[in-house]
Amino acid sequence: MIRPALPRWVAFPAGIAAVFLTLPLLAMLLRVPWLKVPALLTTPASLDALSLSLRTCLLTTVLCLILGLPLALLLSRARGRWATIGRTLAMLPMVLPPVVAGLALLVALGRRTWLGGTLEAAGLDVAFSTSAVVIAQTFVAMPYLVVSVEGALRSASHRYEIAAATLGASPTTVLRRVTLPLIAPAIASGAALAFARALGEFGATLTFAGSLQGVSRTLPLEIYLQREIDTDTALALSVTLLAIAAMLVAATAKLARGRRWEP
Amino acid sequence: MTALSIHAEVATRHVHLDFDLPAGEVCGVVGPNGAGKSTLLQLLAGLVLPTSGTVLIGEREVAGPDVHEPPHRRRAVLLTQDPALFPHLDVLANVAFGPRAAGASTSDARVRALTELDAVGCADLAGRRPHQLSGGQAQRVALARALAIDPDVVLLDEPLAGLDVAVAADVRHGLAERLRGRTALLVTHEVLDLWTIATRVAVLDKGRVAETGSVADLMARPTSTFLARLGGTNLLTGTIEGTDLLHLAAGLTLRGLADPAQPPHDGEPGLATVAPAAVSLHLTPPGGSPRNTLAGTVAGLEPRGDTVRVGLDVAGQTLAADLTPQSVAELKLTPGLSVTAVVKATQVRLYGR
Amino acid sequence: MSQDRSAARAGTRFCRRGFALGGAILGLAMTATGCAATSTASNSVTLTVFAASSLTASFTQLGTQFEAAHPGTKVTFSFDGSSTLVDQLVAGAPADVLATADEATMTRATKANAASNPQKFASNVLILIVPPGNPAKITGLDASLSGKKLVVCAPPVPCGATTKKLATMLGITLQPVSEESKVTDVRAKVETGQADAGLVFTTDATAAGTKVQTIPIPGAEKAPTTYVIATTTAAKQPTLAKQFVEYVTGPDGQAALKTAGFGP
Repeated sequence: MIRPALPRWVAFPAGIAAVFLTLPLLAMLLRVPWLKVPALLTTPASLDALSLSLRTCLLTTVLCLILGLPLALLLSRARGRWATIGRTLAMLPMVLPPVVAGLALLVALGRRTWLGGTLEAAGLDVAFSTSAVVIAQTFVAMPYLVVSVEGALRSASHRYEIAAATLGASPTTVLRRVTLPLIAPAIASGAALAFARALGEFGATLTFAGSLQGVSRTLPLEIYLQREIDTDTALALSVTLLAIAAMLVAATAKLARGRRWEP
Repeated sequence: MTALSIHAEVATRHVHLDFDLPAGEVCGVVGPNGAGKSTLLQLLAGLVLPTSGTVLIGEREVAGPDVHEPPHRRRAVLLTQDPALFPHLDVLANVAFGPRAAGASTSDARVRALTELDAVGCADLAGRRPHQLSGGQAQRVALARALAIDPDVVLLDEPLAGLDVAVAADVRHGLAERLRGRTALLVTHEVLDLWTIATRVAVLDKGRVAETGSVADLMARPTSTFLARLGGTNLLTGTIEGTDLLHLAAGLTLRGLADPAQPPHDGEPGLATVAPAAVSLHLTPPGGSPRNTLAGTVAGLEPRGDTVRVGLDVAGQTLAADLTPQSVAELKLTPGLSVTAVVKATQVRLYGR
Repeated sequence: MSQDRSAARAGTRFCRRGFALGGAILGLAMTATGCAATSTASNSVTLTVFAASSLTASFTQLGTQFEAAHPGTKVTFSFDGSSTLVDQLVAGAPADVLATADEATMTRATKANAASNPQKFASNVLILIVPPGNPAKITGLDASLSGKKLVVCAPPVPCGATTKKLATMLGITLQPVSEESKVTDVRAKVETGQADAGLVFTTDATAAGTKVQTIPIPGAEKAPTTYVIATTTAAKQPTLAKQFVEYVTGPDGQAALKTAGFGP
């Protein structure tokens, strides 16, 4: 069957959009001093930033999975007004300006707040620590996992879960062996999105965790700082970030199409 | 021993069922759409909660005023038109799923799964993925998966409905073989399923159990129009006069052969079955014949391949006659036309309630 | 054949419409940001000044005074980190005057031939700030900071460079928990109590008012940062730009800067 064609004029704004989206990235690639990139990326500051970013983002992704999956499961079963409120609240950090997210974390967990003070008294001092980076990243990244997984759960059919239950599988077994494996592609793409978002996290980290080499100065913060003195290093770090992000986006797109059970 | 006992109401669905089934019987469940057949199965599986009453599987109360056993603790396995094989597991892992969930070791579960697969003739499919199976194969594997947990009751909701006729026949025999001796409920619209798989039958109507009995008894001497129609026969009701005459209405009688298994009694309500093929139609009453003649009007015409089923209204009761298209054309039958139905007395079976 | 021709026609149409559409989008963007060049009245001239963030309060005041002294003149400012401003200027951003918070950054602009004839016009020294009430009982750049959360500027930015210079001069090693890229971020972390102490310029402490307490650092005056101002080589209003530089370095400008906490 031949699908009715798109009107030809659609190509014009689409072309402009394509140029608009790719031009800045292409321009950056052209400006990168490629020969100096290996040297620029192996300075202690660059290596520290890269390693810190990868470590914190991995931890963030694990936290998103441990805490975000159960939340997505609950939200997918929720009905009515509270479900709508819950879903909205869970998505809110996605649309918050990063600085606002940082401020919100500060007034909730800052050292002068009740919660932050209690934690500090208990020996859990998160201020200016790597933990603060992970907290900031988790706050902004978790909604991506929750939204992705919750959507998959809600559109999934219940028939396999019913079949599993009547076959004697306890709720935990149903979850572990049927529900989660069936939405594995959505979980993976949600985790990749969360990782990518955590990797790009800047504003909340700067506001909430500060910026110190090896402790809280992640890749974006290092780029921000290097921009002040050494544009070449900033560009080299930027393309590194771009490369990781591109791989994640590509992986997400592949995963979002999903493993096909049925041909 | 009673294997199932349901005395429960589901108010939202206007269903109130009182139903018991002895152990080891496969009971066909029939009835018009919306009669409550699926609700009966769901009550047993734990997918619907009764608003009042109790549901027992064996000696266990699985649903009642203060009891709600979740589906996974009921040992009541459900098989529907949709085989619902887990798409991420291969056939063997699908069948081993139940034993694994019950705590069996991986190897024990695999051995059990292979045995069950072999019993339904699908051992060679063990390594396949569900999407590589045909409809009939998938349904056989689903049966093997269901039986692998040694269920106390097997609940089947039109398991053959989605299959081609030839495939359905094949799977039907598989079901009959594997369900023999087990306690099972089989919801169906096919009389063939009753004869092949079931030992008993329950007719549901408007959320109530209308009649129950053995398949042979109920199909031979149906007491509901629904069951008679399912069995492809006409059911007429009236009052018995003497030993072999059914009085339908003023001036309308039907002479037949009394069924010795359940003989009719003079003056009591009685029933008669007549095969549609045994009914012939005439525009004018044929004179001097020893045969039964019943005056009626044509209510509807339904082509069925090489015959046409003509529905007649006979004193408020429905009588179907199977005619050749040629006869229908010659008689110029149209709805509203007055005709005379003729039936040989030897083709009429009379019995009491 | 006919298909080819129609494709070619579509091509030309694409170009024409594409340009029109691109122009329209550009136009929209410019209207939205209010940077259409023709928006000012024809009889007035606009002077654009790029100045370091720490100059925001004093230069805004100076601009108003300058406009009053030069009728028909409008002064617009762009305040940002000195490095950022130099980057923008080198990339061709339109400005008539550049004022940076240190000499090193200005040197970058002059080397790139973006500004010429720089003049020192003010200085700024570091001061220690603590949250109101000084909860961590900080007494100065001394043992009282041990185990406490000190926030400073990162070495690449002017206030960080000054911090480094001061520490070297005093012969001490600072152990900050964070090195910020902007002096305002240091201030914000102290104001919220997230940090126990911060090193900022005196003018920033003055601007913070009662939201912070200050602890002067003996010897800080020996490690000042020097503010430099220059006209740009691409200035559209070179005469006016020169007049503004003279105004800032003149008695009126110096008085206003002194009020804001700057040194000479």
